[in-house]
Amino acid sequence: MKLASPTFLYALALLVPVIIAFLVRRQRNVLKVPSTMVWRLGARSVAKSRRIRDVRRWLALAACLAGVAALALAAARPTGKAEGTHVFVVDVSSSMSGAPLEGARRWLVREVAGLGPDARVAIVRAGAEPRVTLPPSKPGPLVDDAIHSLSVESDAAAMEQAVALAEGLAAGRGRIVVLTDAPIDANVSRLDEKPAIRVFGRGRNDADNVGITSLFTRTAPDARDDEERDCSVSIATSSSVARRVHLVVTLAGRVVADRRLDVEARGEITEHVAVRGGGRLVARVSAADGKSDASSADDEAALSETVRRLPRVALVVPPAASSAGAFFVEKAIRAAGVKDLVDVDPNGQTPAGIDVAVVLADGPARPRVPSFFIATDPDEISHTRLVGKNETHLRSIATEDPLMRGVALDGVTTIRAWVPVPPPRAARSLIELDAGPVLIAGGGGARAWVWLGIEPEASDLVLRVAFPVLVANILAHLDGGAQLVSAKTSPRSEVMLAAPEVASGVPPASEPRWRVPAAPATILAAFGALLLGLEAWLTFRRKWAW
Amino acid sequence: LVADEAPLRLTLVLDQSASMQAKLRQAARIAAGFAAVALGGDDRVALAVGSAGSAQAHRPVSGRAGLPRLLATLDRIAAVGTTDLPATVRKVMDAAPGRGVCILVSDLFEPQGILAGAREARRRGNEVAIVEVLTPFEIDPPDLSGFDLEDEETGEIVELPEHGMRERYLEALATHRASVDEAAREIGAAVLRATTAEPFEGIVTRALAAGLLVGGG
Repeated sequence: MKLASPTFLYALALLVPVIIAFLVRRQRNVLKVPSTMVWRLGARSVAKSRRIRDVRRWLALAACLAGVAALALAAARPTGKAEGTHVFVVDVSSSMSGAPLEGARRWLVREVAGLGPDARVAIVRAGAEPRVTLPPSKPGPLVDDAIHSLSVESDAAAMEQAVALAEGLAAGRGRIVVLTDAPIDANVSRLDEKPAIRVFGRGRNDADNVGITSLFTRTAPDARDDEERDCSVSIATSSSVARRVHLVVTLAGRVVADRRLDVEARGEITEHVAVRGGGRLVARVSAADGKSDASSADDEAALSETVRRLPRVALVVPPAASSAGAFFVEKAIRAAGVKDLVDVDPNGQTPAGIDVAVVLADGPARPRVPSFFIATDPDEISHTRLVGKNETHLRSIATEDPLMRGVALDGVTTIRAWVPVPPPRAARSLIELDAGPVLIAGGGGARAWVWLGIEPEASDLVLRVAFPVLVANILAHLDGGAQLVSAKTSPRSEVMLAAPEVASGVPPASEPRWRVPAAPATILAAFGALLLGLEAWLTFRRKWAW
Repeated sequence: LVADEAPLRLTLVLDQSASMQAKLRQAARIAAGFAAVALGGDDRVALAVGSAGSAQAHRPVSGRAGLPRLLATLDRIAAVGTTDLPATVRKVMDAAPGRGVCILVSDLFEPQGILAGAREARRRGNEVAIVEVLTPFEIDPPDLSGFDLEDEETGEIVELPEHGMRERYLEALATHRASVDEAAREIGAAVLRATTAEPFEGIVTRALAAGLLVGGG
């Protein structure tokens, strides 16, 4: 046992005056009478015999001594654990909203209180961009403030990066505990010693959630003019029964849509709202059927809508090459709202006034403007390697990147793709297959580029709803102003409160078998005060005589 | 006083518990007085002395010749044990069955309940009379506030409050005596109150005047 303030143990010296007071107490005279039967009726207390009375007095003394000792010990603040570094990784993804985060906060407060004054505590916030909320610190107000400042984000948790951050803080000597609402895979850590996990689930009545999974605006293909924009809101529910939700969309504070919608059990719907003009576009969803809505973090999404000019796009593809890939790419470009699309022969004439080029085959006529390369080999990518289906399993997606907003690629199948060898420097990888990165963005300004290594004809990527969204994001990125503006929303898995299937999870954090409801010091102080109070009351009843 | 009465069967029950220590001689004198009066006529007198676990019943005697034996018995008794008048009554009634007048001489501090011994005698069909013997200390004690009292009979320790105990005691004694009177009325018994400071012949005279020896008072 360690003591936070061992100096207070000197207060144990107070036991001496208590003992002296007992020894020099006023002795009561004892008188023998024939019978105490009548006396008893007016007496203060009755003991069976002198021995029992003496035992009572000794017990009273013991209670006094124990009370004083308990108070002194409580002042010294005993703690039950040794010092050490404890790094807590707190999942702040939107699915932690409500009961799980509250539970995590309470657990943290209790845990830190029991660690002892010399322990060092650090907190890593596991959101889309993990960061250290609290550097290693001793328990105190800083830690309390950090715990209470934890709040959820409208995003998924980048747990692997968060754990890596925690491992850096622990420096191999401390304990790492992940506080989350779902199991995590052991591979989240590359070290031999895996972090522990503490899962804060929801109650059975708290598993119903509705939330916004996607919000974006784009120029509708059938728009009457450049001012008209199509706002797309996707709403999902984790409920096992159909839900009725209330959707309100406002633009610059003005309500542009107020609708009640039905969402199938564990389903998702997409609602379109036509908007005009600029301003802050906010979509709010709430339960309209009286059922619960577990997470409030995913109930609102917002973006800034501005009036913009549509880019002039060049689709660089050999005129003779009529492929399915080119067909779907063109469809995706037009779905992104582009109306001024020019077909360019890579070996022909370079057109003027092009804002963005989409390149399926490189050549001298390719406009030197920000470009989106698809399964081609431009100067920006030095070497590429063709990989087969054994190496095209989707490994990761940089979901936090603006280019990937609203792009869901779960279960995408790719038979053939190109990967750069080696990956170009000063470029960021957005999608990685087992073989390597397959979607890369680099450059800047007029030299900005995005490269996609997946062959359109050898993947179902182009058939997915996500593809036009991805193309729109890329065109907006390359044009310097978005034709498609996406809001940051919670991933579908977060809204659905879906727990991932984990083959080999990290072990649960060890918990004491019996946890006291309050800190040891509090219990000791209460015990001591109770004993002294009891003794004072009994002494008062005896008119302050022993 | 008894010449015109039919022969009386008198049973004297004497409480010899430890609480009677200071009162036993006076109680024995009173019992001897009653015996002397009764044996002066044709009456038969039985004597029982006892406390818890040590009740003794003596064979009934009659005539003046029986008096010395009774006196010798009374002279030998010593205060010991705790009060158990019902057991003493049962002992003497079992030894000499029959109905008559039963006089109990005691301080009436009975743990078995108010007049438990007298009730037992009444249950056996006797006319019952009670002589309560207390010391002046017990009737009008000094203020013992702040003292611890130890019961001579049971060893019980009673802690008295720091103030006002005398008034409380007198109030409690009055309550106790009222309870005795009420219980006596229930069983039709006469109660005579005496102290150790009072000449015993005066007590006997008062008892005779109250008709104790003819039962019922």
